[in-house]
Formats: sequence, C-alpha cells, structure tokens
Amino acid sequence: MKISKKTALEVLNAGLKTGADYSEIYYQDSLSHSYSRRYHKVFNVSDSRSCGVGIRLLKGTECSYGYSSDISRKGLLKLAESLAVGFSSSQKKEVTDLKKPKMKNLNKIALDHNQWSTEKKLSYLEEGEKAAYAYSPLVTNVTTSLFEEDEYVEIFNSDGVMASDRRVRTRIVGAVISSDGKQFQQSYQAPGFSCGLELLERTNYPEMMTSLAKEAVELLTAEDGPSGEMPVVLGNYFGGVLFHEACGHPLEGSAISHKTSPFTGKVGEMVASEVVTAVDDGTIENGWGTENIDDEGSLPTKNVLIKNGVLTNYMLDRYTSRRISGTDITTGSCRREGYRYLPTTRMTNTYIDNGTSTPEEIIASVKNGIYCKGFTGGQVDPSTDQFTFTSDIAYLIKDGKIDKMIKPVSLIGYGYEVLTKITMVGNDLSRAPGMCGASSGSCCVEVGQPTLLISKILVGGQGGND
Amino acid sequence: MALNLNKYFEAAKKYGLEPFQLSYGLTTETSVSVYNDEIEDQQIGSSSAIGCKAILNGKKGSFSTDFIDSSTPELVASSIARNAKFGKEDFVENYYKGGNKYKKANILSKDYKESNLSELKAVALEIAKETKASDKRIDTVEVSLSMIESKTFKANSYGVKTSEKSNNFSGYVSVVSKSEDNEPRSGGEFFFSFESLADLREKSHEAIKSAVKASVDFFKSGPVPSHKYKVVFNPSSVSSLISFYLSQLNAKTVQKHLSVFEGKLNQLISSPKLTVRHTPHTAALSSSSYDSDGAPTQDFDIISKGVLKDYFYSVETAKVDGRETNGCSVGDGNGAPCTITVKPGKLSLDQLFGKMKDGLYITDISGLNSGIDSQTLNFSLPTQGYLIEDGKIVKAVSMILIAGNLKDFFNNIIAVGNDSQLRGSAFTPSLLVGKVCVSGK
Repeated sequence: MKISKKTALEVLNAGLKTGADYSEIYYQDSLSHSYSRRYHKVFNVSDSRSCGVGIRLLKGTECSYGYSSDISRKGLLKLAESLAVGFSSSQKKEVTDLKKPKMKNLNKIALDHNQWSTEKKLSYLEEGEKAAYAYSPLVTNVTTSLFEEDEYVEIFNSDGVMASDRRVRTRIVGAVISSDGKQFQQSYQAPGFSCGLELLERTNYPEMMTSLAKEAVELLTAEDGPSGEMPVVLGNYFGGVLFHEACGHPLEGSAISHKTSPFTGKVGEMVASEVVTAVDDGTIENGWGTENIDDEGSLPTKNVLIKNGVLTNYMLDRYTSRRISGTDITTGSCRREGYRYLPTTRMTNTYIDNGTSTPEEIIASVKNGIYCKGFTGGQVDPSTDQFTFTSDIAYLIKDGKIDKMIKPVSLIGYGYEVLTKITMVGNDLSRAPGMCGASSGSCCVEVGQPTLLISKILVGGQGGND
Repeated sequence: MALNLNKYFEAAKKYGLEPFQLSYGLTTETSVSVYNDEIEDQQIGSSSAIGCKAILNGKKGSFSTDFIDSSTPELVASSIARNAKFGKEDFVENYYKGGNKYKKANILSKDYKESNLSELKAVALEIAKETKASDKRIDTVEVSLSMIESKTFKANSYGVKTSEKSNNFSGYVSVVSKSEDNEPRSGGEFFFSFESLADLREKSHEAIKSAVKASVDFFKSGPVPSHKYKVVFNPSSVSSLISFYLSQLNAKTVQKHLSVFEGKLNQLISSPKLTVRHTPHTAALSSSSYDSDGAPTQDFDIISKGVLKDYFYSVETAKVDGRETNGCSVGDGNGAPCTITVKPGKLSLDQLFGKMKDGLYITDISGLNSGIDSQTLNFSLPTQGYLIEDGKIVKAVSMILIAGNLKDFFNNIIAVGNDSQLRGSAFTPSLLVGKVCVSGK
C-alpha cells in the first residue's frame, strides 16, 4: 500500500476528532497514455499522470471534503485536521484496525499495455487509417487513437476497510470526416473495456474504420430528418443511452435523496411497460464501468432496478442512503473521476435486458417511423426527467422496411413517459462504453440494450413537416 | 510544493530538449453546497499541475502531471524524450519567441476581498432562504458557492516568461418548483464576482429571480406545432450557439481543409447585422492575458458586418500562413477565442418582439453535448421559451426541438437586440432569427 496502515489510522482518527461519524481516505495514482494519427501522420504520443488524495468526513448528512496532491503523512494529517474544523463536538468514534475486504478480480488483464511497443501500436492505428481512406476519395480526414489508462487506488475508511484496486482501461477511437466540397459529415466509434491490449487483438480495426468511412460518405447524401412525434426503433449497443439518460440518472441516489426524481418513493410500483427489465451491474467482467471496489470501499453489485416494469431498487452510496433511509446500506455505486471530486452515486454498466422479439420483427411492425442505429450521447434534467439524446446514424422506416438514411436528429421526452411507451424489446442485447459527466466528474460507464420500439417520441429533424 | 523552474530547464537540457516550454497552474478552492436549509457539503482543495512540451531531434514530445515533488523534473524530461521518439515530424515549430507586449486581463480586481468558509456558509444559507421565500411553489432549493484563487505561469527556453493571477467568487442557484397538481419544473442560474462575497451576494438577487422564473413560468407548458418560425434567442442561447459557430474559424482546421469557412477571409459569411470582436481582456472568467503558446492575447475583429476578418491563430498556424499569431492558441497548434463580444443593436427586447410580431422567444437550449456537431455545424437541440403573438408573450412553450445548420442560422439574423449580457465566454445580445425549423406537436 502506498499509504501505510499506521498513517491511514492516524489520518482517519484525526478526521473523527470533532464528532464526525465516518472518515475516509481515497488515494489515486493514474497514468494515461495516448497515441493518435491524424492528417496521414502521427499526431500525438503523450503521457499524463494524476496523483493525489481526497479525504471525506461525514457527520450524519453533513459532509466535509478536501483534496490535495500532497500525499505525505504530514500533508494528510493537516488536511484531515482542517476538514475536522468544520464540525464542533467531541469524538464519538475511533478506528483501531483496518482489514482488506474479500474482493473478486473482475477485470483480469490478458495483455498488459507494455506488451506492445509504441511502434506496434502506431502501426495498428495506421492500418485502420489506411482502410478508411481507401474506402472513398470523399474521405477527407481520418483520426485514429488509442487510449490506455492504468489507475491505482487505495481506499481506507472508518468502518475498518483497507482496500486497493488496479483499474486498467483500454479504448480505441475512430473518427472519419467526409466532404463533397459543399458540406462535411462525420462518423465516430470508440469501443473500450476494462482490459488490456487484448481489445486491439479482438477488434477488426480496419473493418471498423471502413464501416465508419461508409457511414460518413453515406451521410453526404442523407436527407433531412422528419419532425414531430412518431414511432422510433432504437438499435442495440449505444441505444442504451436512452435508459441511461431517461431513467438511469433519475434512479441515482443523489436525485432520489433530494426528492427531485419522479421515481422518488415509487419502489414496488409499475413505472414501465412490462416488457422492460433494467439493470445496473457493476460485476460484469471487464465491463467499461466495472471496478473491483467502489470509491468508498463497498463491493460492486448486480442491481436490478426495474423488473418486468416494476421499480425494484435505486442506486445508492453511503451518503445518499443516509439521506433516504438513515442507513449506510449501499449498492456499491459510489464513484468519482479522481481525487479532486466529492464522490456520489453513479451508474456502472446499465442496460435494458433482453426481450423476446427479433430486431426484424420490431422493424417490420412500424409503418412510418425512424430507425436510430448510431448515437452521440445525451442529457437529462433529473428533476423533471426531461431527456434528450442524439442519433447520428438513422434511417427512415417505411412500410416495415428500413429506407433512406437521414441526417442526425435529436429526440426528447420524459423518462417516466417513454418507459411506458416501450412496446417491443428485442433479443440482441449489446453494451457500449461511454463517458458520463455529473457532479463527481467524468466516469466510465457502459450503456446497453437490445433493439427496441418506442411507440411515440418527439423527433427533431431539419426537414420539418410543412 | 514551490516549483524550482531551473531544475526543469536543467533536466530538459540534460536530455537535449530544445526548445522547452513549461506551463504551471496552482488552484485553491473553497466551496459549500446547501440543500434547502442545510449545509450539505463543504469542500477545500488545492492542486497544482504542470504541462511541458519540447522538441528532440526534430520531433515533438509532451507530458503533464499534477504530482509535483523533487523527482518531477527528471520524470517530465525523460517522458518527453521517450514520447518524442514517435512524435510528430515535419511540423512547424510552435514556440513563442517574445516581442509583443502583454495587456492585463481584467480578472483580478483591486477591490478583491478574501472570505473564509464560515462566511461562505452563512451567505449560501441566506441565498437559499431568500430563494425559498420568493415563491411558495418552490419545492427544493440548491445553492453552491465557491471561492477560487488561481496562479498560472508559462516559461520557455527562448526566454519568454509570463504569469497571471485570478481570484473570483461564483455561485449557482437552482430550484425545483411544483404546481398545484405536482408538476415539477426546474430552473437555475450562475453568477460570479471578481470582487467580494458581498458583491456576489448582491448579484445573487437577480440570479434567484431568473432561476425561479425559469421554473415557475413553465407549469402546464407544452409544444407548439412543428413549423418554421421567426425566433428571438436570448443572450444565453446566442452564447451557446455562437461558440460552436466560431469553432470553425480555427486556423488549423482551415489549413487542413476541414473548415466550412476556408477561403472566406474578407467575404460575407453571415448576416451583415452580425459583428463579433475578440475581447480577451474584459472582465470574464474566460479572459486571459496570454494564450497556450505564451503569446499575448489580442483584441481584434472576428466578423465585421457579416464579413470574416480573421481566423484564430497560434504561433504554428501563423507561420504556415506567413504572419504573426493573434494570440488564440489553445494547444497543439489549434486556435480558439477566450472571450468574445457580439456588437449590440438598438432594439430593446420588446422592440424585437414587435418586429417579429409572431414567433417564439427561446430562453433555454440544452443537449449541447450531443445535439450539435462542431464539424458540420448541424444542430438538433431541445429548447424552451415563450410563444409570441402580435409582439406579446402569450404563453410558455416547452418540449420542442430546433434544427438546422449554424451557417444558415447566422445568415438569417433579422435584428440584433441592445440587451447585451455576459453568458459563458461571450457578451451577447438577443438575436431575432428567421426560418428556424421547430419540431413540436
């Protein structure tokens, strides 16, 4: 351990001196490498290191948090003591021992980042770049990138937890810009897992880049999308951004504990159509959002949020659990971008589970609507549950068949309404990695779903309807 | 830990890194959050970070870290040397060699007064109380206040050395209101001061009114029919959209033939009613006296009466075009503005409504992280605002999307308001724009 047990005990107890009932130390040392090619040549090879500590004290539902890049014993004690000044009663708790919890290694690494030379990594990117340019002369720029992160964290808390976790992540990115001289279009994809370079070995990168080039070129002749309410088929994989935005955020303890979520107090009630079962699963092996222990020292869980349309649980961390029920029961959902961020409830790997329909049956059931295949991301206001997300690769559906491609469109709705309008769920569940931004920073999360049908949702295309 | 600059330059020399540039930033922050009438959290933090870049044997390398101790100079130099083996070749050297004068950005007030955590907590609770009392339909209030002090400096082996200090207070007040039938609506407003907590408190009164209005006005609101409308966009909406529009003026994007504005210098690119100036020294959180190359930032016309007057240059892109940088570097040779000012017109908001007669007044745009494409300038964005009939506000409107392309959008400006406000990194007035595609009922 980078922070010794002795120092950790001293610091945790220093934080408890003025009446806090919980203290916690989070140490982070993260090394990131990025490699990219752009404009037909190596664009960037760079490293960065982030290292520091965050100390959190709780007294009931009042929190005192501080961070510093000074990780010396003296620095840690000074920080804990200055945070303890925020409370003013006598010591109620003392930590006498710290023990390592039983943890399962969910993120086994087959091929460490140092197993390939930089030359080999850049050559891998170049192969993808060449494939994209070879697809069409209309491809005007290709960016290929590889991101590697090797993060080490230690978590100590006044419940006697002393844990460490190595979080290795790898992501490859492809972006293609096309132009016909009058306009530009672009397509993007970025697969990633909590794994090593085995991701590169099992990804057919030239094929992925060719597919992106095809989409970028097709977008040049895509029509303006329609406007208004209509049936929408959402494809699997990143289509899961719908549930992430529309329902995932409002089911996080932060929104529930502030009683601003439309799902507050609705456990046991029917909140979705009965074909919907939704899960936040922090235990998926090598999942992009999987961590062996969360950022306050709790083990990850498979948390069924909605079962056959009935709300079964929220996502909770210690603080929001205290606000909601006065307990310290968590779902292993406490996360943060790094030591500068006060942690809170965040999603891990969140998805709508498989249904029984085939994707073909779902498309065939729509007379006039759109099929959204690719997505760029979204946003939600958890207090009103109004969400939006954007589909960058979408097609018209006419008479049950996929028709012409349309330009990117955004969709909006209320999460609690759209859940009841999911009328068919496919059997082709697939998950995708993304970065989710919220109060505790940018966290790696997976979204996912099978192909599904929303009977009616508002689509904002440029084509209008007049 | 105090930074010993010489150690970094010595380590760079040892590895043959020439030229070498170091950027350093130190930020200390104190903040509090209030939920209804209780302090929810208080935070204190201090962090520093350095970013370095250099050239070794004609190739570029870089490294950044926020962990600074006596081993960091060696780590930085060795990492750059390792990365530079594979770095960019046949590039244009992008190190500023000095020569131009720096003008102070107005981000450090002579009237700045420090405050402590207790004072911050007291003011945050006061603001929450005032907010809650302002309307009985308010269900929850959240207030967060921060004091931030930052110091930055940049030095390179050509002898350039420049530094900047900034202190500010900022706040955010948000509310969720509920109607009689329990319909929730939210609103929020950001505010800041370079002077004092007292000044921030003074500014909070307006912020509270705006946050509450953005919430309670929208009970029972809904969409309007899908149609092309004339629309007045408020300063906040204009600020959001113009930042994406101007991103295509990055000289690097232009030189790589990836900009819709390539070859458009001194040509009409927007409505003649649009004039935009780079104003990097005005009192805004985005302002700065120097750019990422260490070159002085400059005031200049970006768009004058619809005519494109200049792109955003770095040292690198300026060399490619055989000219001097205009101090807009944001790293990697790319260029972007710090703070911009859109020239206001003469019409008040009511006069804009009168000129529009029938249409929409948009007061909020969301979904900017995914619904707008800075490469194509296509957008499809959720918005809310008001329906205007015969020049008067008739009702609130929500659950609508606007869609189009920003080139067309700024070409279709009909009139410019006189109600300039600082929103984000832009001083902008309201704009009346024609032919906006709206998706609704």
